[in-house]
Amino acid sequence: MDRVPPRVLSAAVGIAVLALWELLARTVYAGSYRLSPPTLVVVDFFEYRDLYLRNLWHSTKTAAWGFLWGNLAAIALAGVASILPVLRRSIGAIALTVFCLPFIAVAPILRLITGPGNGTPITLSALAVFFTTYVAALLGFDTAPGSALDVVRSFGRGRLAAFRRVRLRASVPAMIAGLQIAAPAAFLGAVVGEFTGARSGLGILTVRALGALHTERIWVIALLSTIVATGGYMVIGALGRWLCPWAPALDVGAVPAARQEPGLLNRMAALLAPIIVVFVFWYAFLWVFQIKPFFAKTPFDVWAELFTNADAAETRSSVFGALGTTLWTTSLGYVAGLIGAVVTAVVFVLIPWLERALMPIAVALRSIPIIVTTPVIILFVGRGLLTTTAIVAVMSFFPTLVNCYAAMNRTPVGILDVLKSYDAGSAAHVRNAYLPTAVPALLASARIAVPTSLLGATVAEWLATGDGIGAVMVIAFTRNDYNVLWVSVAVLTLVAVIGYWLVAAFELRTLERVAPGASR
Amino acid sequence: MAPNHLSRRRFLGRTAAGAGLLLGGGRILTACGDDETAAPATTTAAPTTTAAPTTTAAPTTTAAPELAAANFQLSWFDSVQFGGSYIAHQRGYYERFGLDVSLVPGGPGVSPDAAVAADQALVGISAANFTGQSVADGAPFKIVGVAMQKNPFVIASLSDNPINEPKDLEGTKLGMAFNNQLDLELLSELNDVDISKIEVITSDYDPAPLVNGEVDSLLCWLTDLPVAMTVQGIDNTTMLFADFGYAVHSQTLICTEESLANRRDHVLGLLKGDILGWQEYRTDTDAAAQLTVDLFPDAGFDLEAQKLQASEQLKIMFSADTDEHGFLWFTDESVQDNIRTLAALGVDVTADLWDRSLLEEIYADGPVLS
Repeated sequence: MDRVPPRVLSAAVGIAVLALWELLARTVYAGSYRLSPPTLVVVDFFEYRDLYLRNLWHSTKTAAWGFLWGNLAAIALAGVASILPVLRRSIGAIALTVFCLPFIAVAPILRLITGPGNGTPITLSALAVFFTTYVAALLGFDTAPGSALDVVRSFGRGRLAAFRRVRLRASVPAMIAGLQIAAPAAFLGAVVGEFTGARSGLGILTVRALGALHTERIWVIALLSTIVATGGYMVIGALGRWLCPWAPALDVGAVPAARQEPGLLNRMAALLAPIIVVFVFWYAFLWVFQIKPFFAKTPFDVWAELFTNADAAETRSSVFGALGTTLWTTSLGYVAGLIGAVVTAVVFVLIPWLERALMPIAVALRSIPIIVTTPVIILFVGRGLLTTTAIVAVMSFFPTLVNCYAAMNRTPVGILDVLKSYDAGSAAHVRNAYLPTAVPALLASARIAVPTSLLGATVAEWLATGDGIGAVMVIAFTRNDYNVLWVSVAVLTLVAVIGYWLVAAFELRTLERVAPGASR
Repeated sequence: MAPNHLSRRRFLGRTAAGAGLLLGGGRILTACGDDETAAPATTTAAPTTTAAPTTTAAPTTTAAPELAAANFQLSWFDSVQFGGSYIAHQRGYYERFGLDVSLVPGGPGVSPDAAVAADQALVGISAANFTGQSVADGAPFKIVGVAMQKNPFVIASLSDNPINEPKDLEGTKLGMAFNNQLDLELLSELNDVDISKIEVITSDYDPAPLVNGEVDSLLCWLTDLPVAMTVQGIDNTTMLFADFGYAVHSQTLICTEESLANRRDHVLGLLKGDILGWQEYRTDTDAAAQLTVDLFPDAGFDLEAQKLQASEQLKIMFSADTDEHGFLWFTDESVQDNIRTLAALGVDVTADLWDRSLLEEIYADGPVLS
């Protein structure tokens, strides 16, 4: 098996999967409006080729604008944070908060600011890429070689010159890795944005296809989205290898959490500064866009709705009750996804031919926008609590798998040699070499997966299950209950930020024990 | 009101343009905006060149300067559901009354009430329950016209296992969107149905669960999922909520009290143009379907489905009342019915929510506008 070229294997597995798919669609699922045979999917694509390409172009164009603006903003702010370290924590807090905002509730609020048109999809798309690119760019600026920085300093030049001459150039590999992840994210933002009233795009076409029992269309859209999102990921990767061939492959999803400075005062500042900054931004947002009080709710309004208004108890029970449901289903899927990813990574390391055959598919699957995955998952698991869990599991599984496998693959040869000299079996390899090397990647993925899992959960609750905080937000929005909408956004964002912090804290403690020097 | 609105628009226009200039891409960015919000981008030669200035686009000049720009916020994605308005737009009926109307599509992430309250649309399409809730929450709306005399909610079932009356729901599985819980409770209460005997499964805008036998019926619109099933050759039965005591005006035209006071002529003109469009729609629904398919090539419409939807919705848009008084009319009696239904849904409104003065002015000379 080891001598078969990987491409042949991938192709063979691909063909086998397609054949099974065709068989199932024509037998078990025949006439079910769920699974379309691949042959009919291809026929449908060619029959409506122009329609698909126009809509694909529309969504791609929107995503490209969001990609541009979001990344520009992220890189600019990372630059500011690099030149003025005193602002770093505050900018980081804003970036993380933006990353943790629930899309489905933010979209209608954005729609009120940008009005009809492409403003909301582009903004949403920009918000979707912001955090990961910010983290990547900052990492890139930080990894500038100390010797080069010393040279700049020895010429008596300041931080700005160091940034321009050294850091900016040094950041290219990390930045490229960030932009790679941003490509599929921008696409997701654009497609969700279309739900705020567009005339073209794959997101709307999906909703229409579901309602019209046009099953082939859902599959064509899923495939096209996969191709575009994966294509963006690969093209940027290739661009990176061409620009800086010396740089090692890097995954931003595996960047360790930033270390906190010791000392009580620093800890307090670390906690307070971001909160204050977020509140200032909240007010600034309402003030700059002059949003009418009917829609615009301040932190005090949110507080009042939760604790002092006449219906505060009711709001609390509905929001927190729903939050409980969401957290329960999300945690199940989150843990299942992480465990599944580690197990699969181990299997891949132990059985290399399987990895060669399946990994390209996994890399592609991690780029599919959730909004397109959801109908496909609904087709199989139906609509219920399991749907949310399944979608969250899928959201956390693929990135973690890719990161953990890459880490295991980098297990130091020395360790493997020692194990070999003791004639250790597979189990010993896994226990003593692969799992420990994968720990940093696993923890970093687990941290990033907190907000993305909650995003997946709310989308699933909106589109499929109708419970949890996702449903509360949609009901609040359809009934124009902006108090509850803002309360839900605030609570959910806070939960995501806290979850992210908790995993980051756990990550730092663990890394200090198992891999000192890995955290920065 | 108006100045504030304008300045906000200008501000946004400027920020968008400024941001665009930063990259020398302003032109393209605003073009994106236009392309979306300009009234139906058409392949047929509809008069769409006079795109209204939008919040994302910098103010543009319109071809006919005397026309007042107005956004009309639709309640859902484009389809023949708004066929009469497309006709009005294409035939220039709105322009006849001095308006340059942009028809703005809705979607799951759009609240027409919010768009109207935020001055992004002069008139929006909503429903009495949503608008009633908004008004109860302090938004200053009026319902100035009712396009769907009967509420479009139905229970759709397969014809070999039909649900003909609410009582039939007992002991069956029903698929519905989660925000319809109150509606189902009300229907049950009105018809002495034991709701605990209905097993509800969440499902939205997808007929597959019914077709696959996972549920016995679906709560949906008369004009969407049942039409899709019929076009696919699946025999189905529909039971209208409106025939069993559920009186909620739907596809209602709303505007703010301020617009009614300050831009009364514009609201009046929009209604008049719309009425002309819908009168024409009624005479030839197939043509309206064809127009819809032609106007929105990116939607991938099935012409047969649009034709069926177009004719089906006649059943709920026109009635003896509209024949007697005119399209969009609502009687005092139906308003009272609505108030009762809404109260049962937990929304307390008074007859002040409705304002018939525009319609009374329009139909002063009889129930047909010419």
